[in-house]
Amino acid sequence: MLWSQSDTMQNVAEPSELARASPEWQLLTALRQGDETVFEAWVNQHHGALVRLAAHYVHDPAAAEEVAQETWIAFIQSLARFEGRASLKTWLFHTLLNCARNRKRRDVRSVPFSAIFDPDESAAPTVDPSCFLNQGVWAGHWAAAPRSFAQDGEDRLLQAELRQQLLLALETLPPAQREVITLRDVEGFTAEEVCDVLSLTEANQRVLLHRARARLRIAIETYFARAHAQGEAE
Amino acid sequence: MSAPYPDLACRRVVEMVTDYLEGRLDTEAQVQLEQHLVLCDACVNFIDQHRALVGALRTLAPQAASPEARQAALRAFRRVRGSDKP
Repeated sequence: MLWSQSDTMQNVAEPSELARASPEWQLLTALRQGDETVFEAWVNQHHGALVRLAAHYVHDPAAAEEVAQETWIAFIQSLARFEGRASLKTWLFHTLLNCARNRKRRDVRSVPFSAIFDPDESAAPTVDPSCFLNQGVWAGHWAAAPRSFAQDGEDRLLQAELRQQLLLALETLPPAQREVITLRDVEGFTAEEVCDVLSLTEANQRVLLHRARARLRIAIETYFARAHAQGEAE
Repeated sequence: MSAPYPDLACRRVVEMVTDYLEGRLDTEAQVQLEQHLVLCDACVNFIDQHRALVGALRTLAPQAASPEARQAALRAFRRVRGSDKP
């Protein structure tokens, strides 16, 4: 168990000499000593990600900003008892999720039912079975080959409209999938960091990531198919 | 006539893609998958779609904090630190 059950742990172990020399420990020391320059850089680096993640819980930009600010306060308050068993970054995002989930519980009306409902679907196929041939020697192979997104122009993936589609599709994911893919693919966390923040096993993290990516892939494929059909019609 | 890559159907490949991209397939499964990809352009496209998706998601990473947000966090930093002092 990475996270201590007790947030009021008093007996903080002395770090080894090696740990004290690490950039992580130097960062912690600077924050504990009240180094505002270091804190400000840390806010600059992570605040946007905190707000984005919080927005998945509160569905109101102002409330997401409030949750991010609550997170900073809780984070600063917890610095004294931080045990260094995970990185400060994972601690910060773990704190954010606690704040966001508490806020959601206080304010359930702001969250649609679909966002709370999280069916266990880990065994279901992630691609519509009708995409594959059912019989003959080619059973199990593609009925129609998927198009490479590159054929639709890879630069289109950067276009504002597609970004909007991705954000919308992220909103429709079950919360656990959305948390994993947001941290992993949007924010660029490592698998290990995601497991630490969300208290997941590596295998569970991968299943959730797989299912989330599968759903978003379908959303993009649908978007491109529509854009393509429109292009043909014009 | 039989399918040229009967051991691994596309239907299974699509469920292996994340493990593959994460480098978490065991050696045997990885070899099987890569042999399949040599022969199956459709699955190559499918895996490219996943790669493109991950690349596109990365471009959603948010901007730096607004000056107001930074100031609010800094005020909290000073306040909490001030109240910590005896």
